[in-house]
Amino acid sequence: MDLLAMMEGCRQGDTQAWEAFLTWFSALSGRVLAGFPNLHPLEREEAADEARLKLVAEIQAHRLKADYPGEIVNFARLVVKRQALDLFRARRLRADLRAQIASAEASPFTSAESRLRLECLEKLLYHQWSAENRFIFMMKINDVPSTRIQTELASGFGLHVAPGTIDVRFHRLRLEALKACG
Amino acid sequence: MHGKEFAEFVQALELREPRSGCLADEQLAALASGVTGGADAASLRSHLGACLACLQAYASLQALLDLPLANAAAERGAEHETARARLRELWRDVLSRIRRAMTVPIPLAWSAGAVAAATLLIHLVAVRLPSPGPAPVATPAPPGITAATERAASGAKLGDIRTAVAPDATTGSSSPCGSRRWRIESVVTKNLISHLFVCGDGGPDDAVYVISGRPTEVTQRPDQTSAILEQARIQRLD
Repeated sequence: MDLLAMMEGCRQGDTQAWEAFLTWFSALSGRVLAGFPNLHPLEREEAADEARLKLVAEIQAHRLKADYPGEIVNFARLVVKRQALDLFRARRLRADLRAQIASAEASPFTSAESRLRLECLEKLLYHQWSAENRFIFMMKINDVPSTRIQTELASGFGLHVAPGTIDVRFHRLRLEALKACG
Repeated sequence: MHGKEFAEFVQALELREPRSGCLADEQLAALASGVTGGADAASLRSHLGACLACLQAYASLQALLDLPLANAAAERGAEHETARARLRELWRDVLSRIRRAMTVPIPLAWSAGAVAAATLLIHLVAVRLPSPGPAPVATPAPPGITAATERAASGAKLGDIRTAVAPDATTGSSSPCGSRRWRIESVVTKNLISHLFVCGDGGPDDAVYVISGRPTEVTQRPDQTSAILEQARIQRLD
């Protein structure tokens, strides 16, 4: 069963398809929310729960249509991401919530330090690294498998490299980032 | 700089507002799925080379495209049981959440149906599922109706559950509702979705059953009840 078949099964009320969906969505939301380290674990849980309910409603109402798997993944990713963004906005509006999650927040000093590091990393990516190195780095920090990066490099850059080479290159790029901005 | 810092970098890109000229979500999804070809793909890729926010969105999509589906494991013998054991653990998680929820005052607006579903879930987890320790291997329920649990929907509380005589699927009169109206409800909990077969009109004597299988015909016509139960089966609870 692929993603499209799973969605069709869910629309038909197939219990196995729903179970597959829940497992898949749990992994997806976990992966997307891992990119929001400044969210409190409870906020992440809340974002995942809300996003799941919204997606289920969309599927049950037959509003989620897709021609290829990327559309489903993209939609689910955006729903989770928007829930995370909503929580960030709500945090700005509610000072009391900020107090509750103070333990998970960085101090002003740490926050400024972190911002500088991010700016440094962005400059490094844009001005010092080649396009394929930038591509490899971004793919790897998003946990894309090296075999998939290999395919992408071949089709997008005409660059044919082994997965092991990609891993080695990422390791070097990571060390370079550490040295320049760490 | 370690994993958390890289994650913060990703977060900073995710929080960034899209600029004019950024790729649409549909374009990114099509490119990641490999359905965009030729000059279009080259043009989109050249934008990825110049825009870190779009590259981040693209990389995130690529990472999510290979996530596993539950049924793939379910088709492979032992892994099937692992998946089932995991589902049972999720039920236990649901139980703890419901218990927490029931310690705070319940708003009057809650429908009796919601209370019924919550109590049924508690029954499933607290009474029927083993508490911590290795879960026994579940025997797949045979087709047809095997057992059912009936309960009063109003004034629900823990333990307020009665076991009913299982209707006989082989006779053809498989509706546990008799001549009463019925409906199928979906209950979405943290990680599970259950289909409930509910007899009655939302009154205090409604009976609630858990269904597994494919309740594809969702109507309220009593004469179609049998057709439903040919495709779905009431889950064995004991």
